[in-house]
Amino acid sequence: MINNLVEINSVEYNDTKQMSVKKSISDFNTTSSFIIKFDNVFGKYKDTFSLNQDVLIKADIDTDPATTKVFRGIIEDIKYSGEGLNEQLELSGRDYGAILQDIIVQPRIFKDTEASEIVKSLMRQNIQGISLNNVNATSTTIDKITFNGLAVFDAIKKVAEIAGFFFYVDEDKDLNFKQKDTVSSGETFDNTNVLGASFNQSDDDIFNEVKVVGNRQQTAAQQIFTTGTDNTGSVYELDAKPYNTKVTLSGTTNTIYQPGGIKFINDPASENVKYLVDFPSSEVTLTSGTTAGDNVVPAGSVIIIDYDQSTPLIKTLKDNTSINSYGLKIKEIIDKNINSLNEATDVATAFIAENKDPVTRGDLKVKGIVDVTPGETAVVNLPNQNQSSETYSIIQAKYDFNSFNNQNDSALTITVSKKVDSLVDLFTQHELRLRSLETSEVESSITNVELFTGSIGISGLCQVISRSIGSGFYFNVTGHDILNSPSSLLGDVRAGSTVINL
Amino acid sequence: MGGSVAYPTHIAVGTSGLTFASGQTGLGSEVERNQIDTQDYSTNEQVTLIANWSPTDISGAIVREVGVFNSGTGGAMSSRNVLAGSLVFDGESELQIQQIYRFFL
Repeated sequence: MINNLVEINSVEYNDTKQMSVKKSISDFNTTSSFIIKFDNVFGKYKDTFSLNQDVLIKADIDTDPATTKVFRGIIEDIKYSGEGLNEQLELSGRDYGAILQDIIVQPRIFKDTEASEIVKSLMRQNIQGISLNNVNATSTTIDKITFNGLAVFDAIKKVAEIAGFFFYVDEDKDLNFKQKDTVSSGETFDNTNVLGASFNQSDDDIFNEVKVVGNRQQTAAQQIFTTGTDNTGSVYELDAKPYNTKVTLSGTTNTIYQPGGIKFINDPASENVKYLVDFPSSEVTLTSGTTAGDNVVPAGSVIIIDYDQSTPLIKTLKDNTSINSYGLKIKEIIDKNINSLNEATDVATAFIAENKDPVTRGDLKVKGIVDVTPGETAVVNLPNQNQSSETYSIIQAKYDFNSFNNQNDSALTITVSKKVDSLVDLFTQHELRLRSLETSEVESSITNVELFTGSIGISGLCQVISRSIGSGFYFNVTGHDILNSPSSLLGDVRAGSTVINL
Repeated sequence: MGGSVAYPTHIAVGTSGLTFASGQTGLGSEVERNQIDTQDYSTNEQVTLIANWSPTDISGAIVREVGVFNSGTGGAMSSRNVLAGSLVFDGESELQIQQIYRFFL
């Protein structure tokens, strides 16, 4: 039999009517959440609970009272309903990972930094009250990553995806950052402990070619035209749409044409514009008009046009094995926070690795097990559903504690493998894209001062170095009085140093 | 660690071999204090402070202790080190003190 209890604000309650806990982790997930229902007969609990109180739920099989912590979080919603004997009180909220979702990171850029150090730094800078004892080191050094307008949760998720890690805030309010699919729960789900199961495989989430489009970069370009040979008339056609155009007439002394103007906006008849830029057509036209004067040059004259061309940062990556097996499935990721090719490559590589294979998802109603951690792996052996000792990642654990389930040891339902995107995930995805667009105009030169509470150790080493200057002096000494000789010396007779370490 | 003090600016040498103890605020017997010539931050989480003495600065002194301070006179002492023996200067030796602090979390 499952025994469970809840402590709210350190006070134990054993008269809950119903409790459910949902713990999940995936590409686009929410943090774990809970719902607790009490009978509130004649307002028994009318003013007992308040928002932000600590909630700790414990559950065990055949251990009374339960000691295994399965959830810890805070009350975010209190709902009253019914009347008289049918009064009910419902408390709901999320785990301490919710704090990571509610706080937006200070704009920050990391370069050549190991992934777990980025996570620690983000936490120290933005979050208080969550320890970092289980943030494991990775073997991934991220060349460059930019955070701007993201929630801490989403920022850490971005790092986790690149490093192949997963994270959660545990029941001890400690952030766990661990390598994905390598931590085993030690559980095997088979016909001895599975009451019901359903598996489905979908190709909806397969993507085997990705195009990552980052911010646009401006690069300098120069084109040299011999008038009459490389162009027609006074119009000079450029290879790209020009920014910051500068037109020069080459000669013994170069003549810079200025000011310039914009075609169809500035009129050389009334304005002093030496040339006009037609941006959409990538053209520059030398002007001739009453006010501007005659700026058209004769055939054979050399015109030099310097300008900046704007190039989008694009990285394309594909997996041919997946393309051969499932056909070409293309995904385009547009993230204007990406400002370097290395950053785009990291994102593209991680995305292909995560999405090149088909998604299999399984839902299992489990008996006799209460303590699992999403992100860890488990073995599923249900041959009738084509699952022969397959290893899956647990992505969701849902507990429904009620009298029936407790009596039957069957409060747990788990979801294994990668989560198939839900509508909520899609909304989250769009929200993230919107934030990314809204904040992308912030300059990427960001200075940050990181403050955190903790202890700093200092160790010291003191070196005393003495060196005798000797009692002699090389000056006009035989053998040392030869100009430009590499062996000739001038100065005091110095000996070697004596170093004393303290 | 709490509070803050001004950063170190000087290194002093002295002649006292008095054993180091917490609570000490100065050298046992200071002979001379020189300004720090070099602050080297090139190594992560480490700073090296260097001060130099010419042979005539402390000629004849028997150096037994070294301290780091944040002022040319008085000031707060960041650290004090005591030599196992002593170092005698006879007017023919230059002296360089390198104080390295390493920080860790």
